[in-house]
Amino acid sequence: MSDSTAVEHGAEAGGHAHSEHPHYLLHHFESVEQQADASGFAMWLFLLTEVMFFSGLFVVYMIYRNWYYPAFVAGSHQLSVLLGGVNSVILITSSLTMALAVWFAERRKKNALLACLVTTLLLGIVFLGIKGLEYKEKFEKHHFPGATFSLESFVNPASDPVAVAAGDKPLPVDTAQRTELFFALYFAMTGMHALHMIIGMGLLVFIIYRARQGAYTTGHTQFVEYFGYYWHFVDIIWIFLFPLLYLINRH
Amino acid sequence: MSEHNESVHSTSSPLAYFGVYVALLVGLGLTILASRINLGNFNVVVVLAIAFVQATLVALYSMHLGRGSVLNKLSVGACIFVLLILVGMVLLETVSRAWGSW
Repeated sequence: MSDSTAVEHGAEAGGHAHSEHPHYLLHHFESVEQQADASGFAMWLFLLTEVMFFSGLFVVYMIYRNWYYPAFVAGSHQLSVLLGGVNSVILITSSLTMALAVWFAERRKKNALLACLVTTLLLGIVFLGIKGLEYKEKFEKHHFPGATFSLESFVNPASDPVAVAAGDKPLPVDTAQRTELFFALYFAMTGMHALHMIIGMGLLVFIIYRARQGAYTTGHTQFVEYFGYYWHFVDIIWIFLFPLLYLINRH
Repeated sequence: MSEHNESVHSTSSPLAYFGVYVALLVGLGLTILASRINLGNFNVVVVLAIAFVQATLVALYSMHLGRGSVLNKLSVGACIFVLLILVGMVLLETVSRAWGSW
């Protein structure tokens, strides 16, 4: 991906035969089209490594879910479909504002671009806020895996209003212990997803800063566009996480 | 994306983005609805099928894969193909070695 460095390289390259370079064309590329193709391909390769990375977690999830299904059902019933659903809507909406941001950048509408980017960032913050509330509740109920993990909601569901509402039956202790595995995967997968969002939001702050300087409204929009791909990818991961973690045996 | 040629914009139209947005929300609603109905083992199949459709829409339109180069499409296809092999081998391993021992 090319952004601010393009300016310096463009100046160096100014001397040679191709004299009509836009300033953002890096000197090792023949043309703007070639540069766009190469960096777009690189972005896709990066995202495909991410697909492979998350797939590892999904495979672990799939196998343990098959092995310890009753424990995964009881664990999943502890998650709030309402909060997860609201977060899904928030993330899908942030994906829309991100796509529109790229569209406005290409049309050189700086204020609309900034409005979309800031909205995307704010929606990301709200998503993480809700996620934080969910995590907090899990910590308070000792559903975070580790030495203090509590089986109370699973061996004695009558003690837990959430389990009562879901109509859970008491689990034998050895089965109930497997809920720890569900929560380990829940925290690993949503935590890795949240980490990607935090990294994305860091990049967004940088992009907003550069957009204010007019960096993306002079015809060179690749950086915003490829960042958008990343943001949409994070959205796709959540589209799979939500039904797999929140919606096990909800009827 | 050239400075001189407005026609090479690579993005889809805002209409497509709003279309994907609505489709994703409908998919989310369908997913939650489907999880409320008892389909036995098919619940997970249905919600995953919806998720795959949603992901495909995002990749094709929001991530411009539909208008992207053949190289990009081929790379995504190759990734999915290799992924299926890897996941398939892991499943074969667990099914053939540990069936019934959990």
